[in-house]
Amino acid sequence: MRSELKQLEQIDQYLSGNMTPEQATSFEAKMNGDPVLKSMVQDQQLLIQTVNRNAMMAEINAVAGISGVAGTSAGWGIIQWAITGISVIGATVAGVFIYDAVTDDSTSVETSSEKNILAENASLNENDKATLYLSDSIRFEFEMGVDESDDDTDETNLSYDEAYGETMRTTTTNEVVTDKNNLTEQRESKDPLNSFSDLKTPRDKGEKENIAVEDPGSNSISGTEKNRRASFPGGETPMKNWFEKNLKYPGTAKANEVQGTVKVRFFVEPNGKVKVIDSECFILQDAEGTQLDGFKRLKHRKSIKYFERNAQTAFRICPDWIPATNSNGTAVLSEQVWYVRFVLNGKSEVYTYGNGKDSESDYKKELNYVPQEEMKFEIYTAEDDFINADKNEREKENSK
Amino acid sequence: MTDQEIIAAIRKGDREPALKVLYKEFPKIQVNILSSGGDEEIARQIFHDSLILLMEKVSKPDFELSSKLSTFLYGINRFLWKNELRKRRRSPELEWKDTLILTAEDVGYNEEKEEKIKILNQILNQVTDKCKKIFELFYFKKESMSVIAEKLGFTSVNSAKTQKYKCMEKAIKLAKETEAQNA
Repeated sequence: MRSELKQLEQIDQYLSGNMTPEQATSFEAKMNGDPVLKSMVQDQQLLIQTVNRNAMMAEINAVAGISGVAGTSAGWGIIQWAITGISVIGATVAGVFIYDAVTDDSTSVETSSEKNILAENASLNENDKATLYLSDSIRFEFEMGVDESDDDTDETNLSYDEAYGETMRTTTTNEVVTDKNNLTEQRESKDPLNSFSDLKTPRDKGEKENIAVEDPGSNSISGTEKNRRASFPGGETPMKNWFEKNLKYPGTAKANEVQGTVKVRFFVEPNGKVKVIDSECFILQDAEGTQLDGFKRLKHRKSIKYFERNAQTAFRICPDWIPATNSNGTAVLSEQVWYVRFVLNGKSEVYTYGNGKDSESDYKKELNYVPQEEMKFEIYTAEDDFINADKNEREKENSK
Repeated sequence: MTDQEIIAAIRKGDREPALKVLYKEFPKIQVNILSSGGDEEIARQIFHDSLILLMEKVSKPDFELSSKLSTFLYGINRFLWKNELRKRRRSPELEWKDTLILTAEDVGYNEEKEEKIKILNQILNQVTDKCKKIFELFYFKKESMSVIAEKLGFTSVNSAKTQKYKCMEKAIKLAKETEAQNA
């Protein structure tokens, strides 16, 4: 080997700790007297670090399901689309037929015919994806037009009248309407306000101070004493405890072993009442924590809906909040954004982050900004297109 | 897995199960980043970088865990995201729950060093595949030179060694040139 290479080898041995202590000491002494050698050692160390980082990144990507998956999923995606397309058309034919038969009839007819369909599906290969989508699509047809009587709905125990009537939401589907009569207002009876008022959260305060010290240049909008954010009575710890007790994990989601994170937006009115605006389950995961997107999301449409609903419910029945105040100390309406993370095998959590949107003018701005479409509850899917297209075709045929 | 088991696995080089456990923290961290102006892409990038810093930190023999490992991971993410926001000339208040407030030193992050690594990373993509393979097998997988010589079809251990140092010389030289160009 050339002498330059010999030197690289020596540095390598030093860095890997393969030198004897005496060798290392003499090498270090040499290095300290020789800036060129020192920088060579640093360069080589960085190169090795880069090599290791690259390899680690490959491992991380493998765990994240990025590398490799893209290639295989492309091929599978097309097949999946084809299967889904065929199954949706088939399902729609069946679905529309039953839909017609059932709409005028009582609920008992509906459930029995649904069972028939599901029984028919069971006779097919159960592992076939098409079957899953088939039954799913039929259920979807029912949800669209007929009463939705589901375990989860009963579980939530709330008044949809209040929920969907008074808040800003525009509900386009008629799925909720029938629930009105069955459910009762629970807010008053469940109000555990008094039990929390004596609790405080010192940790939270300490953390905030820490941030303030670290970041003196930040534009603190809501820093003054009078200008205060809305908060749960008693602070964060009682809030966490309360949610632990009152947040319900949807039965559908539990059965399907999915978990999710839901963003809930709501107003805290000057009198402390909480009015939920909307909620969005923007992260859906399986039991392992792998994120589910696209078709997998579609498959768990129902779980998503109940995640969103149960998260909303919890906020709707929670005790009155301490309202936000403006710089004069007057209570004002404020918007809050909180996140509910449903955890399958563990504690579900609620948390929030400062968003600087606590003043009334910001809330108004926000209202102008958010287009109506975004407030819808449904998830738009390609499957809907299939169904609609097929429906239109049928109507045309019928009119002939 | 307990925190100590995760650390032991990383030190042993058995990173995959450890990463799987750590990756479960991603959604929460992603929410943190999304809620202060980030997008999904940057959230993923930052989280992956944080895992690397965590593994480097944990692999050091003098590493001692002073909090929960997940708390430490949040701390690194918060630091990296704050750093990114600073680069974007924005510095909102970040109210992350259950995290540590860490300094660059705590995290093992050095701007100058990171820049150099970025360049070296580009260089590593320019050197031949054989060079990359040697590096990876030797430094990452910790294979012996004789195994590497056999795996990659070198006639002797010595020629594999010579090749390794030639690759190294070339990579460092290229990096120096790139650095000079950038300066």
